Amino acid sequence: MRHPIVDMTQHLCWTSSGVVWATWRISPVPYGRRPVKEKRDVKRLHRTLWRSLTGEALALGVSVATDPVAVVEAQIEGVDLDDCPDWALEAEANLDRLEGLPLGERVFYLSVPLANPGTKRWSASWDASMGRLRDGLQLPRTHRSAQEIRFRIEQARRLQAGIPSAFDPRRVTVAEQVWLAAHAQRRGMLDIAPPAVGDDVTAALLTPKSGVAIPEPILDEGAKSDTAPKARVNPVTSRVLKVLDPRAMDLGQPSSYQALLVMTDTPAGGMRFPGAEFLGHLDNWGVDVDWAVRLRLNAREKVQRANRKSVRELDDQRDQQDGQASTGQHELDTAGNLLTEYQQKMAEDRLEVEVEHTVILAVPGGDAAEAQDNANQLAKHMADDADLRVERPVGTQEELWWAMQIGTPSTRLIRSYAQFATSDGFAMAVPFTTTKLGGRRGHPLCLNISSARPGIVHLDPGGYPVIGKSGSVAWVGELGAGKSVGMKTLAAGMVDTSGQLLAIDRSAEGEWATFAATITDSVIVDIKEPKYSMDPLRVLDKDQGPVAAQSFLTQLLNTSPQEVRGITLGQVLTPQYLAQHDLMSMRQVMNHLAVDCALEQATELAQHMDNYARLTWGRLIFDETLPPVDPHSPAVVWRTYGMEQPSERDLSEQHLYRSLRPEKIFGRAYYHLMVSCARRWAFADRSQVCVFACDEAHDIFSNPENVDELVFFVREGRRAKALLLVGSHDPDRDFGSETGRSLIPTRFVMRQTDLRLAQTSVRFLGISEEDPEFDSMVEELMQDTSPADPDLGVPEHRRGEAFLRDAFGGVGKVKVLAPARPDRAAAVHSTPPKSHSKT
Amino acid sequence: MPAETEQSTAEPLEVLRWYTRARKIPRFVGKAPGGGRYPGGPYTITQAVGAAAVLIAGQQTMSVWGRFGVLPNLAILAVAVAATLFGLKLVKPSGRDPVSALLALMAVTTSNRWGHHGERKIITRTPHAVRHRVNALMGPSPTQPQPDPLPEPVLTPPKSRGVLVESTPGLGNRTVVEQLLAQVRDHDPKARNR
Repeated sequence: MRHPIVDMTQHLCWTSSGVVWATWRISPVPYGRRPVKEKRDVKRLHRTLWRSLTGEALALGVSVATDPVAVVEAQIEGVDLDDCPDWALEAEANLDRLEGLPLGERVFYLSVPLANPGTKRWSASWDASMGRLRDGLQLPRTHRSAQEIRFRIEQARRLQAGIPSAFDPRRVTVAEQVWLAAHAQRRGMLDIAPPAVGDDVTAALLTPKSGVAIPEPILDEGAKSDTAPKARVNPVTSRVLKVLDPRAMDLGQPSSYQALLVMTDTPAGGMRFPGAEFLGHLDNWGVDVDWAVRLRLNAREKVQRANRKSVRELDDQRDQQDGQASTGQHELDTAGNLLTEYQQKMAEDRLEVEVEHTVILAVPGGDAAEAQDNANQLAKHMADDADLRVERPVGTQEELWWAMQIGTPSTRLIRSYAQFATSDGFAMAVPFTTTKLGGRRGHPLCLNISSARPGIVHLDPGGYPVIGKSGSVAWVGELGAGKSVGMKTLAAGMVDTSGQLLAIDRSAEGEWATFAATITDSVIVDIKEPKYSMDPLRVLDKDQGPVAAQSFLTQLLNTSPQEVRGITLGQVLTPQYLAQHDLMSMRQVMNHLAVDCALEQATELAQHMDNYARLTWGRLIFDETLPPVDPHSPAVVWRTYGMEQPSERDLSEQHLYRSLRPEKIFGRAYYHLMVSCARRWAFADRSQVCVFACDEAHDIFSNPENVDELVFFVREGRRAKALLLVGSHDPDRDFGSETGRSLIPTRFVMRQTDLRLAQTSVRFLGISEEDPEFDSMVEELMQDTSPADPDLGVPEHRRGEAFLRDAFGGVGKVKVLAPARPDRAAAVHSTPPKSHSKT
Repeated sequence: MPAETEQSTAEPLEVLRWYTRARKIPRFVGKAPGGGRYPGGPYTITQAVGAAAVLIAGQQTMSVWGRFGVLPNLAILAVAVAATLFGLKLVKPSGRDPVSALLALMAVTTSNRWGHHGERKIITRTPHAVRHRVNALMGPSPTQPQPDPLPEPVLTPPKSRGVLVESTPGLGNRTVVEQLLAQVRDHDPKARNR
């Protein structure tokens, strides 16, 4: 058989049968673990799509490998690597790491044969016959007339107008058509990605320069050429197609072995939606597979006629099988019930159409045996998990292979395996969907493990403000689930791309400080060994410093602006007063209040301040000999291990508050000062991305005044590229107000073995308890998300698993990737070192 | 509970149902046109067609194989029909068309060993020699304008073979390779006789 395509232009191809096909690349709609309400919307989109078509169509889901180079290109897109040498190193290391990962994705196409109206019904067939005759006589081919091309483009344009815009149908190029034809011959082999928009190199490679652009393969059904010369091939046990491209063979590439399957039976009771996405499930079973659905859309009137004929047949069969045992009658009863239901559905909805569809699957393998094993494995999964039967009928491999190609007319065999459903029903299969998460570029932070073939999740929180989204990210999970590693990895990406990191580190090991130490010019402010001053009058400018100082002292000295002491503070801590008395630091203010200030209760204020200044931690504020923290440092980490804050009970009950230890009071004021400074620094430079990381956020959110600052971060940070990165255990209680929590768009949920926390966390992803997915997600979060072995902990290959809700509403399962650079990877890991055993 | 998680899920249960069974009703033949019931029926169409074919073919060719008397011949034919009915019972009435399945099986069994390329079968021949007659035009083409004569090459005789290169009339316009070939021909009597 010759390849049916004889002429191509733009997204059109003329075939040897006289039919012209138009092809679009379809953008899949995000699906994955989205709430059921959104899934229903996706189903309606598919229903609209089927109803927009008439006659035949071919839907294709092509599995392609992701090129690691493309991933790294997306990683560095928009980044000036001369300014970001660390990111260049990370990208290089990432390239090496990705080479070992089997990454892939599925691309979708819709191809529709255009009608031949009026005289074209005859002229198109005549032209096709003449073309075949010319080919037979070795005469040169003639081009299509401009009028014919214009006519077909207009036909295709009208068809495209009916495709819902959510699918973003993009006209394929000639290069893409050649790629599709070549891909069918190279399944299971090394292949280039389909040419993308703007991918001039691939397009140039694939654009035909002669009449033999599409490789002419050698087809060998049963792979007979692999056997010994005299050996007999059993056609039943060798149901496979060997496709050999002579040109590829010259380049040392092997043959492609493909096992073609066709869906022959479906569950008698149907499939419940959500859960009926059987084409999407193909990616869950770990078998590389391409699918094609040959469609024929039948009008309602035609269906009703066919149903009436079936009713007559049914009556006749009841008569013919009258005396048969009960089995046959049961089948007829089932058929009768289905017919009644079908007629009812057709009668109820005047827009309903019938989708007659034949599902064909192509499973590749390294050789004939492997292809057949893979096909058997897939068939077993489909039977066991979805109650769908697929077969490899004897002697049909080549015909099924051709049926998956654009331009091949439907055959009797294909129609004999057709299944029938309503457009509303077949829409539940939602073939054009994706579990893709994140955006097209940015930090390749995780592997998308929503299906068995992982993809890369690019997150670009620093870039989201540019497109009107908040870049704030929340991480939820129990202790040891991997939150900190994820947060530090994300932060590392931002710092490496010229961003700034501000972090509060209350861990005993100083994990954020260890991480920050790998960043050039980072500043670590340690309360136990102060090397830098956090004096607000020295680290903030002359306008903001006095405001922050007054806020700090108000909390530290427990004053109120309505009290005399508060009024005195308010008078002193103004830019004018400070300038007038040449007061440049908190120490100088304290000394001034003690000696030179005539304002009321100034001396008492100074004495009170001095009590705190004598504490070790007091040096952070009152020691003028320490250098101030540089607000322009790429990373500032405040170590607060050992510093306590009053609990909610301490603050709410008067007698407890009055007996608070000075360390707790200082801790409360200091936390507020850190948050306040972070907010001011982050919002100072609107061109630079600044991320404020609050691991163990419950500690910070316990102070209501901190909550206001952090909510400000989330609300207003979009404009200033100021991002909040928070991590904690309980999303309902640890993230302060509901407003602030709800406004964090990107959410990671890691392992939670406690039922209540797991349920809370799944709700935090946007999945309600009424959603059918809710219980299974809770169970998965508790039992199958980075599960810990009682003796060995979490195995290396299961670390970092999480559910992710991205900034665009997509929900799926991911595995967070630590930095690819070994030094950075070592810096972000916070697992305590193992104890030394005695030998 | 966060506000965005509250959503209405109170929609009717949705089921993707296939109506293929309603369209492809397995057809059986159980009653004769006159209303009588076929013994052992009902039969699938495949069984009915197969049994009828065996019956007609057997009856038409009885003169060829019927050597046992009328009654034994009829008994043999009846057994053949019964065997056909029994064998074809295994063919599922809702499955693939048995005729096309048989044709496909035959096609794949008898297909070319090396597959096919386009519309042509690939046929490999047994090992055989390749013969050819080639005319090679070595000098300048008579239809081409004559190029400028090349400078006389200076040849160093290959000492190992002891061949003395002399200036021969007619070698003036020859290339180095042509001159060497001419020398070999001059020293090889067989070549000279050709």
